[in-house]
Amino acid sequence: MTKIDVHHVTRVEGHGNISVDLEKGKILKCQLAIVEAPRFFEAMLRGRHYDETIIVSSRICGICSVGHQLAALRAIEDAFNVKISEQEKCLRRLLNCGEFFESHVLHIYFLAMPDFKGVKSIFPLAKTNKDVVVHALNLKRFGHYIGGVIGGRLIHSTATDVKAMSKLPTKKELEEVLKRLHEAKEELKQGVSILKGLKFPAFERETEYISLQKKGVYASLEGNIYSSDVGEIPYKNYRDVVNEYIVDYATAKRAKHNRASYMVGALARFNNNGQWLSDDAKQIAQDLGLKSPCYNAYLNTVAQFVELVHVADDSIAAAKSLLNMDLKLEERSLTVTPGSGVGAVEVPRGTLYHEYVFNEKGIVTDANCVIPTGQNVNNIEEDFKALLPSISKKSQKEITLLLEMLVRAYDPCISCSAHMLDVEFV
Amino acid sequence: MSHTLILSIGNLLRHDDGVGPTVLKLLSEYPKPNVDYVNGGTDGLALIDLISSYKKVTIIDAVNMQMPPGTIKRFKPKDAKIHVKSDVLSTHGFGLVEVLDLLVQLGVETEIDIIGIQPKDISLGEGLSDCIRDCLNDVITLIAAPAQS
Repeated sequence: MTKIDVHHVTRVEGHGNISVDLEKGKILKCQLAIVEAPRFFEAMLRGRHYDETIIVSSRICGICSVGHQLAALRAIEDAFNVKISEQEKCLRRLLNCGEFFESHVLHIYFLAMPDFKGVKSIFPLAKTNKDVVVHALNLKRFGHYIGGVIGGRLIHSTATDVKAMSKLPTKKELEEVLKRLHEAKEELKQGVSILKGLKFPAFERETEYISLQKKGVYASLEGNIYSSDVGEIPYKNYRDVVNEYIVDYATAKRAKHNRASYMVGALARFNNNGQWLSDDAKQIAQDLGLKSPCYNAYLNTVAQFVELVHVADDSIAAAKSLLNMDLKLEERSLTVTPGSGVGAVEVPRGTLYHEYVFNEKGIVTDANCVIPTGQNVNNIEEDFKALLPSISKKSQKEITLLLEMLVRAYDPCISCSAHMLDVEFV
Repeated sequence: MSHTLILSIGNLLRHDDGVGPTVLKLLSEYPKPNVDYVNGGTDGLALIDLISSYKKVTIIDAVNMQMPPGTIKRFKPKDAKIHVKSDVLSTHGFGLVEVLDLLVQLGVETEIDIIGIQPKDISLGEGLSDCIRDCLNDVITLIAAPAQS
């Protein structure tokens, strides 16, 4: 009997355990358990004024803080029927670009890469592959920079506001953003050769791929839901898609739609919307051998890299548009009406939904936040079940690594923790 | 850009882990010329660029030195065997330890001093323990004093 028990999976965000029992190739137990304590954000949001939802929900995650802010904004705009200007749309695209760089670079290089290099973290790589670490830090620096210029600070943007962005970049700053975007694209070209050198495990399991979709664009901040099984679904009907439920061995909610599981994230977006990637992103996908539809979840990491190229191109267009506008601080008027609103946005790890019910004073009476990782957990378990029979003859160590790599490929974001320095004087 | 950075590390929501930000707040009320005061929070990776852009950095942090709570030590990264827990790394696990290690690997020449304070309680909750609050003046005096090399 082979028993795999990983408490906790490292190099992911938060705490999750893998428990697998195999007997003569037969799966007796196969679980990915999220064991973080529940965080009760939806309860904290109840009773808050609508403009506080952006600040409170942002704290759900330090990596996707902008995504939560934008989802909350979209929900408020949906509830109160607010239209946003082209200027605001372009600024949000740039802000989102910073977050995608921060998050995807962190995952590709700092969390996933060590497995392929046979080390436990990126730190030993600084000795053996210094160029890779410097390259990764350059890309990360760009994400930091753009988040600071557009959002006011690196994490938990202070500029995002229901009345429109409260801080505008100067012409000089936008020109610098544009310059750095071109530099980031050059840096990404170097990344192609690094990614080409990684040997991804061969594994395929077709599943239902879900993302936002808006024909003609690689949907990110607007659009309806698209399922590779059933096609378009209005974003307001997101509850019919996620169908959340719980299991007794984990604290995170799960989701399923048309079958036992579905996948969200970079690979789902690539499969559903790849035709609308920028030309350079399409070229790099081709160079890296990523073809749509792709059924190998390990290649989610490659899809993330392709998305970085697209996001950079999209931001170059947004920055150019902003440079041609006469930017003015806006103050949108907003009329509070009782009712509910749904915000659906693509964040680095997949489709994120926020829904709020407001009373006549604009106070939240109910809140629902559905995060991408919760939607992916079932799909990871289904991948385990499909993968295990073909690797059951490998050693326990090899099986464990392949399962851990699969979990990491989804870039799960489970929670946060605090750390302190531990020293011994020499 | 100033030449010197006073950088605090730590989480105000974990009792004595908040000693760094608490000291920083007191220091920044009487700013010195050519010195920047930054609360580094708990995001380690963002610190790499920040630290490497200064000539001299003093880091104030709660440090487990296996000493009585409230003990203050000034040391350089090379003077201490700092434990890099690379096998338990998560995204937020890129703490100061890993940053210091990476800065050395990358050949960054910033002169770094660490003012370590032994905490008593780093469980969840606000406010410093009495013994930590009592040593704040000594921490500030030590930061003001020139480093012994």
